[in-house]
Amino acid sequence: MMAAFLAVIGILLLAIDRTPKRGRERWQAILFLLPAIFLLLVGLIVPIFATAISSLTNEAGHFTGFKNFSWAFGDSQVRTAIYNTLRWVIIAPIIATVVGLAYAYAIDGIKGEALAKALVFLPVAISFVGAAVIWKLMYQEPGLEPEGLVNVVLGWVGVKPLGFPTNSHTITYLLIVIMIWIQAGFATVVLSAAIKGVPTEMIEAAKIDGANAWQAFRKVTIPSIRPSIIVVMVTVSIATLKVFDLVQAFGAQQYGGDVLANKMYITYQQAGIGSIGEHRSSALAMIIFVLVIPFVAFQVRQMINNRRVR
Amino acid sequence: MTQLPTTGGGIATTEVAPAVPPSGTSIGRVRTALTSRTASVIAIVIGLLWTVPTFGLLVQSFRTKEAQDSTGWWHFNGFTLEHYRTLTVGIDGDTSSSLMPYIVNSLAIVIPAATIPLVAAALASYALVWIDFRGRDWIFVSIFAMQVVPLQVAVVPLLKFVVGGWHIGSVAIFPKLGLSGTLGAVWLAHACFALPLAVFLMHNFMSEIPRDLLEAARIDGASHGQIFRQVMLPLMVPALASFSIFQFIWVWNDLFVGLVMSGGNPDISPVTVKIANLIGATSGSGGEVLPAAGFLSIIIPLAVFLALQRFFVRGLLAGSVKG
Repeated sequence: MMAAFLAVIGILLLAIDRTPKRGRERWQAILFLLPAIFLLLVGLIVPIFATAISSLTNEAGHFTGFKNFSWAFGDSQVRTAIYNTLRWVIIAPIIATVVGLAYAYAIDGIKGEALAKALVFLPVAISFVGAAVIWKLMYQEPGLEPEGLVNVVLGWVGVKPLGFPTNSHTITYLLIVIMIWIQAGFATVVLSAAIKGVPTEMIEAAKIDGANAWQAFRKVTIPSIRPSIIVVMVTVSIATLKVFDLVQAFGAQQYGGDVLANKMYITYQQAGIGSIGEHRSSALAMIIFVLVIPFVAFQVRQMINNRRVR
Repeated sequence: MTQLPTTGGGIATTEVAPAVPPSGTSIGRVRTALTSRTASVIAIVIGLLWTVPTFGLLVQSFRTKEAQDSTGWWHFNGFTLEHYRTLTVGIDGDTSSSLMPYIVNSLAIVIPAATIPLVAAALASYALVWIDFRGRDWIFVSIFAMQVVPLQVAVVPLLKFVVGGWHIGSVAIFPKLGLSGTLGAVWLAHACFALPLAVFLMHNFMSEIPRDLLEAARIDGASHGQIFRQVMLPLMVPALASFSIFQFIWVWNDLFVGLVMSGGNPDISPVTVKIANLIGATSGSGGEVLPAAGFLSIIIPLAVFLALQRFFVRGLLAGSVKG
């Protein structure tokens, strides 16, 4: 297939040089855009319509309105998944951003800043599945195996083992910790670049006016880097809305830790071909889609504004 | 040509931060003694919290089953290479638990899955930046906006397309491509899903290249095809590198697409699918290899990342938006 793909590109480039003279620019533009348009059509545009239609029909192909959605909102497992997803989206982006900001500010200008940044950034390169292996060890419960470091440390301050991973009260929070662990590095890198963009003179001027370091941070640095903070929060929110791997790897759905993306996959996987389950999983996918829209709309607006500035 | 932004330092600047000067400027920064101490404490605590878990896994992966079952990894006892041997060359010729086939699968998935969108996006963004035609801004914004489509929405219809082509009723409007059950299906999925980000990154980069250069080449009679091959591609190396690393790490670490598109077929399953299965299956025996397996799956993207972090960060700053 790779060879076929390269052959197509080769032919395309040859064709570009041999386009008719009339309306030449336009023909060339079309040829240049062709592979991308094909991939988008196959992978994104047609699928979105297919899933939308699937979510509004039943297994016989009849239009059933919002019946699959009312199933979703009536099903207690789906409701748990929606509730948990909202908890994820509220908690993970805020804490990841706060940690990233604190760390970026703390290491700004110190000796060994690059190394300090790299340490926190490393988890970004680690898969959710790899992170699940790492944190499974950290969270290990006493029993067959020795307890993990988390329980040992909690034991020092007198907290009993949390009963991970079967405790429905804590499982979502314990998974969110892993998400924060992964995303904080991203926040650090972006916010660190933004902090370096704040003119030193502004901070010095604030200090001359009698502001202490905390006031200067709050009144000068934060407002100056607000756009970057929002970008980080939005990006992490989108990633969080689609979180799947962590929940899947921990099998959290068995213990009340399900989220929408995982519920969608399980509904799809358990459905027979052509059964109503397929249509229900489409409805769950569409719910994720609707939840993501405001965040991406924000990104698009941001991008258009940035282009206008240029 | 030397005055061109060939280092690609430009693509990051306007998207995220108001300005990103090189990192030497913080030298003149002033801080009171107190905050610098608070800052150091924060830095050390967060730095430790973020590295200890991975370090713990590394240590655990070298410990014998007995050691793993009796004490925590911080005891540093019971060193063995057995788990790594089981997962690579096998023990006594038994390679049934080897992770290598899956790592090979991941590599076989990652390389085309990065190359295909790379080429498609480079071509597309050339047209969107350098060829004048009506509606090009509109097309660019639409492509960017397609990031709104979550994988969960797109992947099942794409799988159906791969298996059976497109039909309206019983009329085939697009034939099946014969990719079903092959790595090609996984490539196609990753290539499609990566395009919005790829086009965005390269469009940004290309917009920074001075217009005069293109116009000079046009006056000399070069066609768009020639300009793309001979002028643009060499200039675009940093942007191509940036996207490739991004996509490499993204695809290597993906579980969802691999799981759905491979349909559980071990011949085309990436290493993440295997590890996820191992996690689910290791409450009993065999759990002792999990830390080593986890570490083996992490090590390749980590190495790529550490070697090429500069490009990765640049891509991240330019468009930290991924579907």
